[in-house]
Amino acid sequence: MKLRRDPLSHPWLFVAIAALYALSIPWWFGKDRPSIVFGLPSWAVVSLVCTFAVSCLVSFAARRLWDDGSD
Amino acid sequence: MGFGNAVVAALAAYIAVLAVLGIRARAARASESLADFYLAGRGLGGVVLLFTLYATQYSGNTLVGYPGEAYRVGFPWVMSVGFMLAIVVVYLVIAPRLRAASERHRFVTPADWLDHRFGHPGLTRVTNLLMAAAIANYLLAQLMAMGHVVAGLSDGAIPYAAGVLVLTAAILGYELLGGLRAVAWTDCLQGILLAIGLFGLLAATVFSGESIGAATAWVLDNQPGKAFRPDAATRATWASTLLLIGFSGAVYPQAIQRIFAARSGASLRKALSVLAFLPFLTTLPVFLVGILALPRLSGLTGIAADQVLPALLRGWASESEWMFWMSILTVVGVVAAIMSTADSVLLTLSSMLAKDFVAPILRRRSGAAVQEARITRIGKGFSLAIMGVLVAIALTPRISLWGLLELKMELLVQAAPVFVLGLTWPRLSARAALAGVVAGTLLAAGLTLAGFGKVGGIHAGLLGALLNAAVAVGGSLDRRSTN
Repeated sequence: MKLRRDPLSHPWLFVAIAALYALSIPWWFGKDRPSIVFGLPSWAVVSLVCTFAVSCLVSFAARRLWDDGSD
Repeated sequence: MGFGNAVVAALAAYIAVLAVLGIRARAARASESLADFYLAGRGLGGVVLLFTLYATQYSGNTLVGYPGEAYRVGFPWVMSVGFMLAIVVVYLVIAPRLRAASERHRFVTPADWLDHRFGHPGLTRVTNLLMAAAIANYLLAQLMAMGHVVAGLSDGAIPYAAGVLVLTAAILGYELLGGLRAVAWTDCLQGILLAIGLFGLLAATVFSGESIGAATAWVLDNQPGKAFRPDAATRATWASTLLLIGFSGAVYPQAIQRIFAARSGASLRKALSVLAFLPFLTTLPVFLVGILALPRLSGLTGIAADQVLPALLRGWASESEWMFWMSILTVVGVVAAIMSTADSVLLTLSSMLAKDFVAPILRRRSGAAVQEARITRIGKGFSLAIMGVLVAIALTPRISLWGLLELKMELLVQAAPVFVLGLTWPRLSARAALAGVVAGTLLAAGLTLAGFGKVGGIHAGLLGALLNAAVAVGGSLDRRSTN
């Protein structure tokens, strides 16, 4: 069976995933005491939001950017 | 009924259901072929595939080790959600091409793809040995974890040795009966138990009035190092862990076999599209449980990090009947998580030993093809032998293999450049890939055994994999090494 569409032929996908992962690591956050958002330190919440965005992208790519002709 | 006795009764009921599923899987077999036994006849649909990938990927370590890590490290352990997802990201790179090739060439083990792609017996053998060594270590860790978890969570009602022996016998029973079909069906049950247990536990903590916000405020006031922005070394380790777990987790041979076992590309796509969200339903609750333990267990002195979950479960079980049964369900879910990883690893390991190592020797000796039914029988013999040896090691007092176990991911990640580059870069040559694997493995193992598990926060295994990839790419660009 031949691949008609492959996630690898969409470089923007992996650039976006890498950027979101880079943001999920709180190097950008200040040294001050973090505020509490949804019960967690704010930097942890931002990290989880970025990771959730990666989940959405991966799920989208598995369904829409990968086509091997099977239904 | 006491907590220990309830755990024993729940585990007995659980093992009885596993036996029924094994017998039904045996009845569903179509032949004695390798594909039928080791790949469930290449017939795993989307839902079963999702559960078997889920139950295989999330081991006992996820449930017992990770709350302990969250307790020890604090909020930076939120990285665990990201690194479990990273495995699915790497699937996105390798699975489409691996799946397409396996439909054309009917692969059974990862070595079949290596042979097909490189046609270099040396590379196949070395990569296969690396993967087999890594997952044999992993299997031993699961057996030891089964004994410790059952002994700890049953309040000693089931001794360590009995836990190891009974659960090993249960795994062997359903696996020898039904192969991957039995393993995948039991994975469904194990995955469901795991999910119910986790959700029940989280719901129980919410209803009991424990607030994650209050726990966070307590940590900020009393242990600020665990809630403020992590330092530079921790951030480097965070990035390193994302890459190490992502690349090594995706090339677990048992995961690759599930790509071959999917009924269709569509089943695999559907399974992966849901798997991408499961870190939020598994790793995140487990992380939060560890954080909730920080104020609750802070008064206990000398508590080891891996005792966090058992200590919390016993505490919750004594609070109300609802909490009692949710805790029991979680205990069974933890045991299920360990068993579902162990059975998958065992099946894959026996298929690799029988098909990739023994069958070629028999073929050379007899000068003719070996019947698949015979290789399947040899594989079953290997399953028994592997478990016999590993149980003997697990039951030997004073033997400490935990240092070796640490090598698992460091070794496994050295196979990743072969698969990732081999599938995405046609110029990768076999000789250069082999040189890369050898160089990367020597560096990773050397650093780890010399006590440098991390250098500047970066894992030795990742440094080895970077060297591995550099040697493979450099060697392939050099014409002299091109096959």
